[in-house]
Amino acid sequence: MTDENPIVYVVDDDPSVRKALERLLRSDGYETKTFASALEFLDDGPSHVPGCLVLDIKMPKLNGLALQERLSEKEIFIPIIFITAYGTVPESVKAFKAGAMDFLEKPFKEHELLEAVSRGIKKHRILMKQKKRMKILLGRFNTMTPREREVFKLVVSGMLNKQIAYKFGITEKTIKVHRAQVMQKMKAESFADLVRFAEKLQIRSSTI
Amino acid sequence: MNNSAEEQLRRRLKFERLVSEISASFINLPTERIDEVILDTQRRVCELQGLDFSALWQLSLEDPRFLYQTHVYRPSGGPPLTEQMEAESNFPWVLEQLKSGRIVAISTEAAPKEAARDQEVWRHYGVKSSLTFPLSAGGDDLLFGALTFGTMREERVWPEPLVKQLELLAQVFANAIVRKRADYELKEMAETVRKSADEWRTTFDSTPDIIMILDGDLKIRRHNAAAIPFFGRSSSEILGQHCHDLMHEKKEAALHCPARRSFQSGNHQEEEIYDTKRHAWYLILSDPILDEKGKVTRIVHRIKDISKRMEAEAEARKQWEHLAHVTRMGIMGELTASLAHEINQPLTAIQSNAEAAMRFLGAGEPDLDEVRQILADITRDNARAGSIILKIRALLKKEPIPVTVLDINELIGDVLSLLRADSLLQELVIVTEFSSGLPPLFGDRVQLQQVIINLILNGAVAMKQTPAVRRRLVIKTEIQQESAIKVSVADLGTGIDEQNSEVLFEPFYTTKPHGMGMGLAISQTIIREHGGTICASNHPDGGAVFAFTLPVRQGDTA
Repeated sequence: MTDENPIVYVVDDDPSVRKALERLLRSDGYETKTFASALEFLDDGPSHVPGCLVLDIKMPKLNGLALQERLSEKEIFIPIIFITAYGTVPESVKAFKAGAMDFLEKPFKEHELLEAVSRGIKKHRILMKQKKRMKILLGRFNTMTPREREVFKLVVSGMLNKQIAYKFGITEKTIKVHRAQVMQKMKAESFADLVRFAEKLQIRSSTI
Repeated sequence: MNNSAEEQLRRRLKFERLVSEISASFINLPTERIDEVILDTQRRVCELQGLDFSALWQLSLEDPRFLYQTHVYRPSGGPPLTEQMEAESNFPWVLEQLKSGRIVAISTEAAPKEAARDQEVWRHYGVKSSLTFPLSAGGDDLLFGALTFGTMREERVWPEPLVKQLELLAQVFANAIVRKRADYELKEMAETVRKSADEWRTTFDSTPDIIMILDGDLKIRRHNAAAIPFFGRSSSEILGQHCHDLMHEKKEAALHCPARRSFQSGNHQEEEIYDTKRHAWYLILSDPILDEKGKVTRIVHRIKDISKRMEAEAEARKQWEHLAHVTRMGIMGELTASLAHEINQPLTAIQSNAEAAMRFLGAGEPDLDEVRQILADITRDNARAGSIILKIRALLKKEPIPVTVLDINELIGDVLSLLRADSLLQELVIVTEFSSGLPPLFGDRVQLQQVIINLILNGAVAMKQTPAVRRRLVIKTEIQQESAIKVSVADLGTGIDEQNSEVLFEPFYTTKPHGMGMGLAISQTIIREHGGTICASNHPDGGAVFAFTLPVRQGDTA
């Protein structure tokens, strides 16, 4: 999935800029999709392939910064490269605070854009990989029984089998059985693996 | 017996002489001496007649139920006399007699039954016999007091001739007292009048405004204290003079003179004037004084110095002009922002298209159709950028110039005080070399200020890399061939490329990283509109000199 060809989305209300950017990106081998407005982009939506968004700030109706907000609300975390014909400092600060990748002032040098796009796609690939791994881990986590999940949490927090047994009022032997189940279900080869998974799932500190 | 009869006669004659002498002495007696002479008379009468006391009572003016003892001669003393006594309750019977105009001559022990209360009081004071005369004013018989003579050591009788003579005295006293009372009232009234006149005078004099009363000829009839220093003349030199003569040194009042208009219209008139002699602004207010028939007899004429107010207003106007200027700069900034947006769009498209075309051409089998298409787009975007520049030029030429008379040195001074707080100018020295006596210019103050601001700020920016000690901006004004004023701003910055000195003034040409390239273009437009020229050159000592000339109007040379 993450190895698929990336798509660069261009959202700019100026047709000649849109067309020129499409050509430039195509000349560098990118597949592009262009949109004349933020709303058009939201309607069509980005597909599940790696890519990035080249977004003009100053546009009628929904402007670039507002689109960034909408995407964030929808949990679509595609890297955004803002382009603007006359940027102000507050605008750029706002964009970066909201997680913009880059902020280019028109007219920019073509390599500035191409480099930013390449960085954006790389970042998106990593993001997507992480997301995928997370999904797998969550799937494994969900196969465990409630008791096994509790044992998982306590184990990764550093408690000994004995302590856990005492806490639950059951034998140490039973705990050992649960622990083996946890290792198997999470597909952990070692205790260190388990701790790492727990970290990714952000369940480590939420115990005790 | 003979001797005694003779003696009696002699005493009677002496007493008669005394009475007539006293009566005569009251005729021209000044009022302030009346009391003294009354008391003296009481003493002499008592001494001559062997009486023990004499008292003069007056009914209170505020409350006529009370008696005041005003003149008493009682050398032997006795129970303390009250200064004030209720007449009705102490001497009801005597009061009754006096009110009827009767004289009461009586021995205490022989008092009638009706006088029981009176008798009691007499006894209390040890009075054995008494003779009391009513005192009344003029012919209306209104009782205002009483005069009593009496004995305390022994009873005595009151023979008719004595009563007659003392009655005469009582009459003389009454007249004197009436005269005194009238005089007192008159003085009182005069005092009141004087006080209120004083009050008016003080009010009149304490105002800083000049207040005058003018007659029908506009001659000054009265004036307040402020008029004296104002005209620089004494009161006698002001009174009777014509207002317009003192005020304007004119033989006749101007047609628009508020006093003149007020006389004609019969109502309030006012006018603000600038007095070139005194270099001050005045508000002149005129109000008519009308007689019963509604005819104007006098004018209350006020001159109020409003220079402070006018200056404040001028200052406010100046501030407002500054504000308008700043706003205009702000609008210019906004305009350039939107223009930058406009022009950057085609530039971006051109840049990206050109790069794409080069890449396509570099590929193995270039799609020439596509490249052709790209070149067409580039041409179109280029035309688009060009038209935006034309639009800007048109915009800058639009407004007609509001022309005012300007002093260029003052104008530059204003700019410098306006820019004083600008951070760019904090770290450099500004030297002004102004020629004095330059002829006035005609032009738009705000626009020319804008040009000067531009040149100063450009110079400051050009010196950013100059060592701090060398950062110096010289602003110079001079006359050129008597027909133009030249203003130059010299910096010690990086200087300019003289080959390109024409391009400097093109819109969007800039050397600043974030410059808009509008400053000099706007400046050039403004100077050209004013019929002048602007140019740039390098200074032999380093740095750039930007200079502009503005024509002086022929015939206006100072």
